[in-house]
Order: sequence, then structure tokens, then C-alpha cells
Amino acid sequence: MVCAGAAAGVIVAGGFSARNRPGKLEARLAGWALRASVPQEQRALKAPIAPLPEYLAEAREHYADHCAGCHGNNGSGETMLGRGLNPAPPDLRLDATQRKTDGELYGIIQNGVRLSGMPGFGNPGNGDLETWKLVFFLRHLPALTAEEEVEMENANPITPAELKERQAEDAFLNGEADQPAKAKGKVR
Amino acid sequence: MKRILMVVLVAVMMMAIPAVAHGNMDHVLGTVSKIAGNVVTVEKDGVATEVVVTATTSWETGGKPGKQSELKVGDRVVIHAMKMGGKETAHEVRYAHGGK
Repeated sequence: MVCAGAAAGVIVAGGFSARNRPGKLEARLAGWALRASVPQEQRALKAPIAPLPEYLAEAREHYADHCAGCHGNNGSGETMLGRGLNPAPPDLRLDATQRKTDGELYGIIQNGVRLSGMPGFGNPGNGDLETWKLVFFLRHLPALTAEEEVEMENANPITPAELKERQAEDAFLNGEADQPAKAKGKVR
Repeated sequence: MKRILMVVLVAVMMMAIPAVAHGNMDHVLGTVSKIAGNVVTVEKDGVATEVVVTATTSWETGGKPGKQSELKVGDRVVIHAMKMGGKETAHEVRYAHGGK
């Protein structure tokens, strides 16, 4: 009980701000809890479809539309939202994610991770083909090409204001306008 | 033992309440006046802004993937950046050689 209290005290001392990254103890305990929460049968799940190239292309667009806001097109998590989340989205290209089984990845996409920024997507159950296609895409992320990344940018959600801003930036880059584009953020 | 684990888990879970940072990225636009290692200086209307580029910065030119090594002094750039550790740090750099 004393050890548990001390551990909780160390964690609480870090405060509740999302700006403070979790300490080693907190990260280790949370990682352990997440792994321990996945039932064996979930880990052992296999995709009911083969990873065909057309599925990968579909999933790439799906990911760019639904996931890239936090995870980034390349899976790094280096986005405005990703940087502000705590716990931060993991770099999906790295071992910590890639060594998870297909069933684990499916479960995380499908059910989300409670008390993190990861929502649950899709209908309950193990047969959501869209989610399985996303699992294929996660496996592909470490080998994502720069061409694919640029292609994904066209599938990223964009508001009318952002589209206008993008067009103004293009005009500036092309030398058609000397004034900085009017942007949402600060323009320097 | 079970109770101890529960206390620790509850404490850990409480720490993991998500929060999203507010605000938008800074948009640094102008002409590249200096490149020194991973620091790109961008000038616009006589005002110079230094931006740090990192391994995770994405590069684009003319709708295609670009490279840090291709960026030259005199290029027009649009950089989406965030202040990190007091320095503007680039998330994305879009550039065009000589303003075209």
C-alpha cells in the first residue's frame, strides 16, 4: 500500500497539465496496463482478408481522412493535435507499435484507448473490414514513400477557409502575389 | 495485492486524461535569406524569422515531395511552424525556387 501510495504521489506531483510529458514510471505503468488489458484471443486475431494493393490504397485515403489529424500522414504523431495530446500518439512506425499483433492493432482502432485521445471507430466485433485494411496500412507506414505522403495531403480534411489559405499560399509561392496569405495562425 | 494494483492503475489512468493544445500553427512566409545547418532564416518586408527544421519536417515543392538539400537562398517559402522550446520549429516547408 505504501509503495502504491508513493507511486501515485510521484505521478500526481507531475500535475495534470497536458504540457507535461508523463514520467518514466507513469508511462511504464500505463503501457503495462494497456498490454495487460488485451485478451489473448484479441492478440491472436487474424485478418479475414488478404492485404491486397487496392485495400492498401483505400486504407491510405481512409487514414489520411480520419487518422492523420493526430497521427500525421507518416504516422509520426508530429501534428498540431498530436503534439498537444497527453498521452501523445505513438510514432506508429516504431517497434512499440509494429511489434503489436494484427489483432491488437485491430482492437485499438476498433475500441480506442480509454483515457487517451484515441477514440473507438467502427462497429463492435472482429469483422470490420475497413479496420482490417487500416491494420494493413499501419504495417506499411514504415515504408511509406514521399510520393504517397504528398498524395495523402490531398485526402486530408480541409475547411473552406483552409482551402482559401492554401490557394493564397500557392499564389505567393508562384510569385503571383507578394502579400502573405491570410492565415488562421499568426503570419510572420 | 489486487487492491494495491487497483490504486496504482486508477492513479495512472487519472494522469492520462487527454487534453488538446489550443491555437494554430504559425505561418512563416517570405524569401530564404540564410541557411545555417538546420536553421532557415526567412525574410519578409525587412523582418527576419529563424525557423528550425527537424528530421520530421515535411518538404514539398510544386505539389511534389521536396528535400531540405534543395532549398536555396532566394527561394520563396511557406512554412507552417510551432514554437517549441522558444524556437519556431517547422512542421511543413513548401518552397519554390526563385519565386517560381
